[in-house]
Amino acid sequence: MNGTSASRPSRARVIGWCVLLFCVAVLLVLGARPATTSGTSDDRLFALAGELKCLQCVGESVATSQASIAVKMRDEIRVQMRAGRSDDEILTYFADRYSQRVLLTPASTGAASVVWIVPVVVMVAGIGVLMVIVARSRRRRSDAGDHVISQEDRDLVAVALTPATSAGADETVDGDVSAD
Amino acid sequence: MKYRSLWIAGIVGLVAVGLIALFVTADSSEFDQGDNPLIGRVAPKISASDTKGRDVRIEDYRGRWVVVNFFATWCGPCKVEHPELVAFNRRHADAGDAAVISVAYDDSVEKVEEFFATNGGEWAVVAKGTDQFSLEYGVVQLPESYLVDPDGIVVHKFIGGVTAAEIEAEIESRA
Repeated sequence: MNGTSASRPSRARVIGWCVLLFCVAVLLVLGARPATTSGTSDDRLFALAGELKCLQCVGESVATSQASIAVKMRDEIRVQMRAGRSDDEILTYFADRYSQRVLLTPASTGAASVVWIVPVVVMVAGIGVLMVIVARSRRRRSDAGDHVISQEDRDLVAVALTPATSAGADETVDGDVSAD
Repeated sequence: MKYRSLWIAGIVGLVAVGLIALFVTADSSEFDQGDNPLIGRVAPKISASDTKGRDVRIEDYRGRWVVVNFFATWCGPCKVEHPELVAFNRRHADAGDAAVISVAYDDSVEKVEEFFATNGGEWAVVAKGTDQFSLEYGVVQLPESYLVDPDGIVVHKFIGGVTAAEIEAEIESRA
């Protein structure tokens, strides 16, 4: 009976975790997806400009900077959007002239790829450690259940909780306890 | 069990040292501010009217070395650099084997004309509608100059003020 009642919440918990992971994955995919990839809207212009580093500034993107180069680059993005170029084509245009350093999203090759790999490795390692900790904790709880709540112990508790009606009964209980 | 904390600290330390070693030994050109994708490619087009109303087309300079110089009259290092360009241009004027094209950045035609009248320089100067050219050449800071070989290929980028001797040395190294 103990095993059945213990497995039910465990299964529900697993399903809960699966649903949570699914939701996180869906939200990550939706969040990572660019807002617009075609058209000539200001949203698309600023999304693209936000992907480019202002090379005359410190820590600013082309989207937020008023530096001369940023203004020129925004104008060029607008021209290329009107010409029907895709996001990739526009970003490649700038990378071909200013090198990869103009892109705020790091390259996935060479040493720069470490910034992509490390978070994944850390996440996988973290999940692994978490799983080990949870498994150990469960095992400890399960082991503790086997040893502590035996039938003998239950009987002892039942006797102890029974209201004393006579001195003899008291003696019996005391005798049992002291015998243990 | 007793040394678990030490083991964890050791592993984290090793990973950190590994990452630092990776970045230290990585190909520095990947992070080099001076790298330029234009080198080895055909020079982007410059097709415009100069300050004297003459047509300037970089294709017309094939067969000669060309220094494409981006400058501004409000830029201090550009003023320091200018006499060097004048000297370089004079040295090659008779032989006709090298030339300079100046492209003004965020400047007015009047100020550019005044600048050349004061400081000299007998070569094509483009001062109007130059935004596209500065983008095509990937100009970031002034002055910047590109050395284009007689086949029209960009072979070197000079960041900051350049001297006549530096340009000559680059040409000689490729001769």
